Amino acid sequence: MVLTTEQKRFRRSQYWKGNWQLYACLVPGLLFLFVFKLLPFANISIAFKQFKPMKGLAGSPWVGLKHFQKLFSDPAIWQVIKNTLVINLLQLVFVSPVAMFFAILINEISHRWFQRTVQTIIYIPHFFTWVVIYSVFFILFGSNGLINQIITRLGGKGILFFVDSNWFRFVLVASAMWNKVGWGTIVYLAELTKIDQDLYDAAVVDGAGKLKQIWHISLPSLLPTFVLMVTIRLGTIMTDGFGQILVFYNPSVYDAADVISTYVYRVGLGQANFSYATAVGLFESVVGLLMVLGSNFLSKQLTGKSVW
Amino acid sequence: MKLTRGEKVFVVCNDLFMLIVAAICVLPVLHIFARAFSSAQAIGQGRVIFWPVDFHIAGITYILEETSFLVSLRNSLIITAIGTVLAVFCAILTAFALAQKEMKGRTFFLYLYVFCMIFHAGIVPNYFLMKRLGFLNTLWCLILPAVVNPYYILVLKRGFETFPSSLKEAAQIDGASWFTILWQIAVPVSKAQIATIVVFYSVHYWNKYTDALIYVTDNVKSPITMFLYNMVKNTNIVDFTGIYDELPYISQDVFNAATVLLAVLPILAVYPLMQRYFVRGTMAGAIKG
Repeated sequence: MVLTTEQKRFRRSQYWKGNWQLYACLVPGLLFLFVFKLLPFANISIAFKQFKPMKGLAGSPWVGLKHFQKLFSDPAIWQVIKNTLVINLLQLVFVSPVAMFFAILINEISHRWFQRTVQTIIYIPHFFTWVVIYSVFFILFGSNGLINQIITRLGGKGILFFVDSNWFRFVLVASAMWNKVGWGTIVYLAELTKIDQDLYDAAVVDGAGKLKQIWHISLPSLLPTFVLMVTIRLGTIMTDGFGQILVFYNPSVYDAADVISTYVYRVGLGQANFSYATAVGLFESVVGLLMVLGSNFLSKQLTGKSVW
Repeated sequence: MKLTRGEKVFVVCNDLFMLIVAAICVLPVLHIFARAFSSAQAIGQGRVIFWPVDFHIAGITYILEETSFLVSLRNSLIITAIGTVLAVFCAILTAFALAQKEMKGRTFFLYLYVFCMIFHAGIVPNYFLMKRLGFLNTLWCLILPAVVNPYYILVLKRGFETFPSSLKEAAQIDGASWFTILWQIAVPVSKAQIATIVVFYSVHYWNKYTDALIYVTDNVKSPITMFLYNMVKNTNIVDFTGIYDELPYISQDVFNAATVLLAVLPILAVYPLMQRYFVRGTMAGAIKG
């Protein structure tokens, strides 16, 4: 059926009359989205100018791609990219698999009340801000912290966890584990409750012990979720770590711990190198976007699930 | 079901192992609490583990009475309260609209939010926007930018999508408007999901410190996270000259521990209340079938 313009207009007005309230619902959210997420893009031209706050954005001269050329010839940036990848990959390796492993173990706990208690307790560190987590680790691992007191009492030599580059990376991974592993078990525990109990019963009839049941039933049923979790995490690997590292690090470990986002903060707002920092930040965003899109594609291919 | 001997060993070892894991999650905090009430000498000699030695409360009273801690606490409460109310209000409206499949242009708005979730202008452009808006060194720069969080909106949208469409259709036949459906049906039915994002947003507001580090230099506008940051990073925001002579059993170690204790207590106090909601919310957010 072909509609006349009259009919089309009528339908449109009917649709609008019935549904304008849905669009009204979007207004407050879009207002905030526009001002605080989209409007900053108006300032992105800082990256293509020699921006001086005194002159204002309009008064600063255009310099084209100068800052991006500097970006690719800056020796510091490669170290920073390397740090970003190393730190995030370490955290990826030590968080997701451990969370899956713990979930299986929690599932095997013999008493229900004990299981509940363990769950309640291991979620707690997730609710602490990175500043609290830093404080906890600094008090434990600092030069006169409990750990060093124990080491020296046992006759060992104190370890400067926050000064030595390699130990500092250990602190970053350990604190990420403390913060995230317990929380990470939630998803896997939920998957485990979905497994048909008959499978385990049948396995028992076939003479399979606990370890065999875990290996042949629990683990395979968690793998799709594991793959999904890892791919989601892969997508944010170039952009993560800002909140954690910004509070954890100090000048003596910049070479080992500066990631792209903290570098942008330090160079941009710390050294007032606004244009260059914006260029680095833009580079980070573009890479981050590509990584997320890539990981989402990968996730759809591997698990049939989209991240959003 | 009878367990073999090997399985019994496994069960015992497993329980023991998980007990250790749980201990690792709480004992560090307990150690810090013990330090907050101990003397500087006992801490220095390594005599404080999980129980206070030479018990005193001077560190805590000093922080409460002589520093700007209470101002920061008040700031954090204001930020969290106003921020959460605004954010949840916007999230309910937005998520409800985005959950209605018959809305034209829905995909466009959805992708707009997803885009904003994964693509950011960056720290410097944000900083100069805040400066332009005159929000630097105010509580607004800690509240308003975080109101719209696409991730939490998508979590709530999934919640609204699961609510039975028969209820909606029955209301539409009775001539109910979208506003009526939202406030009379969808919100009451989705109370649990809304509670979840209330928890998410309030924890987010309470814990966030990077915005304060970037936008706020004035102590009077600092949230509690920044107070702790300045304390443990030793940025000399709090002036301790003379205090150590006056109170010889106090040191920076005691003050650090006392501040951590004061900063952590509010979270621990509401944790049992929150716990009911976040597990479900995380599940809803993590996986879309």
